[in-house]
Amino acid sequence: MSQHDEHDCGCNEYRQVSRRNFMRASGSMAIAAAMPGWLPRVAFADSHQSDRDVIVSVFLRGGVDSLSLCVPFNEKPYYNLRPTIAIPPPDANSSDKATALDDNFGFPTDMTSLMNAYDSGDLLVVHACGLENPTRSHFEAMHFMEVGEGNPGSLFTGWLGRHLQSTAPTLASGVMRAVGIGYGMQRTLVGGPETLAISDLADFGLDGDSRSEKDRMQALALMYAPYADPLKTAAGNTLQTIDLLQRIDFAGYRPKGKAKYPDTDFGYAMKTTAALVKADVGLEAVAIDLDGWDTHEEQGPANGYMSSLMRDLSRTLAAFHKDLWASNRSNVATMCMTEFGRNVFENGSRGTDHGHGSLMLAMGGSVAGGRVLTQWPGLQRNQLYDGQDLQITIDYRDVINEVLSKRAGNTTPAELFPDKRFAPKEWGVIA
Amino acid sequence: MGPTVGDYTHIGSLGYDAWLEEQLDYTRLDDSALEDALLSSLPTLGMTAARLRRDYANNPFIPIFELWVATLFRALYSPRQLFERMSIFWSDHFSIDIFGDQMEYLKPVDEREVARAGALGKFPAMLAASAHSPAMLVYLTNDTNEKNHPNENYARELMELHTMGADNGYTEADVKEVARCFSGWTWNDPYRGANTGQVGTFRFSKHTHDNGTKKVLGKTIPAGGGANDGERVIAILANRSETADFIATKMLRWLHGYEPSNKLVRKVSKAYQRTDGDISTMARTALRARQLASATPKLKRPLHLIVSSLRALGATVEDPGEILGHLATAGHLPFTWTPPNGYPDTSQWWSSLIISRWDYAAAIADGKSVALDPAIDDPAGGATKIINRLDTMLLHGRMTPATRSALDEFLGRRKSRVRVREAIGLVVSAPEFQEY
Repeated sequence: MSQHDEHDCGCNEYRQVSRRNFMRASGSMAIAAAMPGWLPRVAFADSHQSDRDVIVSVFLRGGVDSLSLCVPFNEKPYYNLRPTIAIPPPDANSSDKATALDDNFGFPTDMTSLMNAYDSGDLLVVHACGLENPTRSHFEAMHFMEVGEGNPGSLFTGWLGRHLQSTAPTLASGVMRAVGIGYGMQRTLVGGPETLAISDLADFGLDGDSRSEKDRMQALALMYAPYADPLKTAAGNTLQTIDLLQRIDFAGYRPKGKAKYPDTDFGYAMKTTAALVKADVGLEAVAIDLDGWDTHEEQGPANGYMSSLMRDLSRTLAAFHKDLWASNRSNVATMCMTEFGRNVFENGSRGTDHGHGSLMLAMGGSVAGGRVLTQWPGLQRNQLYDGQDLQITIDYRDVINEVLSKRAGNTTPAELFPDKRFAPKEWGVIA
Repeated sequence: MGPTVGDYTHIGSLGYDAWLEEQLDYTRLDDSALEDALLSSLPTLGMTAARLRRDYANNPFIPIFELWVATLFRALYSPRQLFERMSIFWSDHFSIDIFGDQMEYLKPVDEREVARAGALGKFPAMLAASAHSPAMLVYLTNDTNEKNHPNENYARELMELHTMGADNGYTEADVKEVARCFSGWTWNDPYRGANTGQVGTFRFSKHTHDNGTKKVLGKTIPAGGGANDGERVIAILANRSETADFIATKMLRWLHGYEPSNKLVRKVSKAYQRTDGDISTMARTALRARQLASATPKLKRPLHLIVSSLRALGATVEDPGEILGHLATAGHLPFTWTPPNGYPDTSQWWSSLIISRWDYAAAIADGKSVALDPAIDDPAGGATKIINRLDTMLLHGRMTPATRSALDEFLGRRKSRVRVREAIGLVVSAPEFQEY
């Protein structure tokens, strides 16, 4: 900034002296020695499987209508309040009818790709779950959910970032503990060490002309090698991650178990995630978004807009399940969450407006799945939140806390969710 | 926000301290050409909240986008560089998330009437402006702070973030009492029956104000004070030595270095107390050449990196949207920090997204979103000549030996215009260019 630079221009002894001393201290020897080995040779020789689960956090952005995604088919109010968009019960004579998960809940047609994972006991639905804050603003609710706070405060790191910060890496020489797939880092992961935002794992590198990329990486490595932290470490990790990812053959990746990922952004992100998990490079966490659940109009949970979103979700998760399980990599815990649910009643545009309670999905070899876990609050008017929404009877943080403490080595729940009003409960999410 | 080549000559002939005075006396620096151009191409900049709401109900993104572009262009082209730098500081100090409810028509007005109106003026006046700003009242939910339903959100942040600093000389009881003083401070909310012309202006609601006696930081505020209770609180807080210390420390961290000495903090804090919070005097105290000799390097935040590189290169921005895209990728799109504490000013925070800096540098070097003077990427002459030119232009002779030898190797014998442009991208990516 100007003041300092201009100062340097007038009387720059300070800066020059300190710079000279710094260079002398680091020394040209150190630079020469740092160079050849500095770009890493980690990866496969060092490959390592941890007994911890890799955590995959999927944020379903926009506010998922949980009553369409997991239908409470014994609730009369559900059918009364949704004359045009309710999913018929499993015993209905309709091609749109739900497929029963138990005596009370069912999946609509476009979620049934997940029946195999559900029946194998690897998929758990946690219903009437969510963020206990009254806000109906997407941005606020997403913010609270991702930082892990029920109420406004000054936290700005994410729960998954803090988890990584408070646990030792599974692979000491790893350069990439976590990745946020998308443009810009998800708040969930903010604060995590060795964590990068990457829009496409198969195409991570320096922007610009690819023909000069190696030369530019080499130049950056030279420039940053003798520099002070935190810049030196940040640059080193970034360059090493580029190098690492470019040596993984994403293009040639063949899923196992005849898994077929849908040809969608989400399908692609999960497929490349599977490839990265199997490369055994010390990956501990991934954050992925699936956007578009803000269904105010023409929701179409049976044959329309929302059903195509659910098809993407369920087919992708089913492929991920098949692929990993066939590769003996069921030690991956995937959690799907959303900022809030939607009103119990439909609006005038055959859609639903912002509500409160929603649901979570948890999938993994250690998950006590094959059931709908819920403290069902009911949908009669007097049972609704604010007279219009599904109540929350399980705090979403309970689910995360149980998974991270039992399956990801987290021993400090108070750091994970530093909220005095939150006392974690165990609901048996993990077997 | 980083000197241009012309600034160098100017400061060189004027002398640093005289230049500082020129920057402090900012009203005499003519920015009318820039402001006229901005106002004519970005008309929302001058509009009232009522007008913004009425005219942009279907395009709420336009006022937000125009405010982003104006922020970028003012930082880039305004002759009032210190003023712009301080505006950004205060905008962070009184941080409001522009993506919040109804903020697309409230925040642009707040930016204009709080941070920009008072950037080098008196702190107590800016504090009062912020307390009356509908954007702040909504953001920190004081608009629903009523006698029978107290909401302490604003009261707490007013003390913790805006004046005294966390856990610094006040109690929970003070927070509750301050909240009582501000009960009924609300605004003309279109969803609560405000008439169209008045929408988005401050309103005191005497029916929801708690008119009892209060005691704030040991001072009694007698019953029946009405709207004056809040004004009293602002005066009490602005007069506290904790506030002077807190603001002085934060300003020094912004202008001087991450860890200013206690001695310097005392000096700037005294300047605050002596002048009733005159920001200009505090900035002068912090930035005189004598003080600046002890300044330590700081990491530029992404906006600063972008602006300083474009200024140094004399580049013309052809597509501000693209630059805003780089800011978004780097996590520094203005006014989108969600919590009330403002964007961090720490090296740890910003260094983790280093690749976004390199990607930005590569993008400006390839010349798609900005136009560069052709003399800059002239490949004629040896590598040393090119490197020296870039050193002078971008780093003012501060290039490290490591960067110099990396560039030398990079240029090698392949000194095409394209290669030189890539070298420019590398200098903007270099660690010493990330700092100031």
